[in-house]
Amino acid sequence: MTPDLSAARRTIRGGLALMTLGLLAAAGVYILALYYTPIEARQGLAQKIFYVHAPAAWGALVAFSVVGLASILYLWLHDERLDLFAASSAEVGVAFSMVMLTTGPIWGKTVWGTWWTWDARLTLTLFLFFLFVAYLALRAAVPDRGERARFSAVVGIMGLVLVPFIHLSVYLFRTLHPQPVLLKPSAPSMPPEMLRTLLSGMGAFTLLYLGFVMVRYGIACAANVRGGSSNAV
Amino acid sequence: MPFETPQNGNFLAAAYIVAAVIYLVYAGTLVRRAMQALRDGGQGGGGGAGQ
Repeated sequence: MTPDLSAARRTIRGGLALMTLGLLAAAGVYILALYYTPIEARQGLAQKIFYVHAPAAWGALVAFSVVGLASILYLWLHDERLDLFAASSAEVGVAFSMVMLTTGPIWGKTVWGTWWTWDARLTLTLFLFFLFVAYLALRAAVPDRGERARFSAVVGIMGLVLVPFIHLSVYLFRTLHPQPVLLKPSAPSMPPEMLRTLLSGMGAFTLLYLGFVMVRYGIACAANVRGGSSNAV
Repeated sequence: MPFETPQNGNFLAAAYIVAAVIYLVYAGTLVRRAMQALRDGGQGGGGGAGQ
């Protein structure tokens, strides 16, 4: 099935509304983090980078997981909309990854004394980022829609395979990166104010992810309907 | 042993500004492309849509 233009325009308008809400919610998280959460005694103010860094990582991993799942479904059902949705999620995931990969080193410099270390978590995350940059480059380079969708679906599924390794890497390898405080078998290990702010951040940036993806998907559908190929990547 | 809370608010400011710039620039790019897609659609589609 292929998308139609009126549906694409509705998706764009809905996405723009959701994106605006997401940006406002993200601004609210900034305010919560700065004025509501306490200052961590050993790390100082820099610990508050956590409230931007962790939701960005969450958004990136959700986005790349969605790419993988949509790619599997595309190879199964051959519905072009799934390919366009996967591509949209990949682009948004790259944007979230850029936030994760810039805020992380800034935080790391203050608590580890170094901007970067080649440990498992950081290296795998960087590799995932490059994989999806390559995914987008591949889509821009292949003119045939069918081939482009098939090739990129395979790359997207490879990215999905990496996601659980990245989450579990702090358990599997010796690493400087702290273990999860939220997504773990036991209860969250942080004070309630910090936990509330973190959960608000997760919610706000999930909303922002949904808004970004809806707008991007609508743009891709509109370009696809009008017969363009390069913008439908 | 007592310890002093480090004064590193500049790192916090840098991280928050970098994150905000990335999100806002990306949102701005999407808005621009979305407006173009809506405008082209309103004209019945056609040239330039694939750019």
